Amino acid sequence: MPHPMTADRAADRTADAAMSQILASMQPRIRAFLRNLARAEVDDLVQETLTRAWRSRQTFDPARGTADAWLLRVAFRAFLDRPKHGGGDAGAPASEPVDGGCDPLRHAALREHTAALLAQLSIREREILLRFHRDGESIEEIARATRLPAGTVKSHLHRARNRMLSCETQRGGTP
Amino acid sequence: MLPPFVQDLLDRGHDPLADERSQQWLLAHPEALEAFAATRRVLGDLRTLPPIARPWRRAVPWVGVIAAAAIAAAVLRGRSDANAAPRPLPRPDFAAMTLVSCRVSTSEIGGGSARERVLTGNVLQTAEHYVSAPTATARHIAARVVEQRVLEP
Repeated sequence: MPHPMTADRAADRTADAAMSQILASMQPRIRAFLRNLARAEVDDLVQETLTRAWRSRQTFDPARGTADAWLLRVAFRAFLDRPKHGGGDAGAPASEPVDGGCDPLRHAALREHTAALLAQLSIREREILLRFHRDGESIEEIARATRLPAGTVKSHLHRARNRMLSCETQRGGTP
Repeated sequence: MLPPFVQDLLDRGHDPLADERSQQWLLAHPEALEAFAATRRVLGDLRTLPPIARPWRRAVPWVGVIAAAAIAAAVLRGRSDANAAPRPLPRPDFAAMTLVSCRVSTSEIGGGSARERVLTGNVLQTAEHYVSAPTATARHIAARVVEQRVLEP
């Protein structure tokens, strides 16, 4: 019969190996998630996420949720806790530069992805979404231009965003 | 689905990730994190898309539109009457005139400059054209630029 201490160490080693595998397999997903959030600081944030996850690996309880959800939460906390430079990029997302600007292929892929998402919307939803988020028109301005009540404009806008979120959920949110 | 308070923040042009309540909601719903981050990025990137000219700013080539509509109507009529003998098309109200002139002004905006064009078009309409070839009407639309000037930006 093995010594209890030896058995514990063996279990720890097995758990560590499992966590290493999870971290390695999840790394591309974490990177994609953080790239959508933070753009320029991705490498640092991925590193910080993996470090935090490894340090707190004992807190992961499979009974409380999947390893994916746990890791994404760790990554999100790392994003929220990051040092902000000059106000950081927690401002309006529209003010941020386009990701992949230096990589034409990625830039083209993002454009294509955006076009595919917009194609999922109705003509009215697309028009209102673009007027608001691309052209910077207010809801009142859109209401005047489209001759719709402001409440209806809002409904279309909310529905368009929810539809985009739903499409992203279906495809895993990693363009 | 985005909760109403997140929609409200977006409506006011605020970043939900800068809002404590939204952060807590996302931490409580980690399954929504990836899709939310991707949607937020797409919404932010929309501002970088090239704007589409407003209808009132867009150049409207009316002569082309009229010609295209006439051709489409003629083709449709030709298909439906493929086996039938040619018969006159109903004349519009102005069919008594053999020549209809139109003068159209179009403007183009783009590349930091604006340009205005004035076109004149002649639409010949005779009984012969209506009887023998429905597409003749479209073929006899002639337009030429009589005036072109660059507008002050």
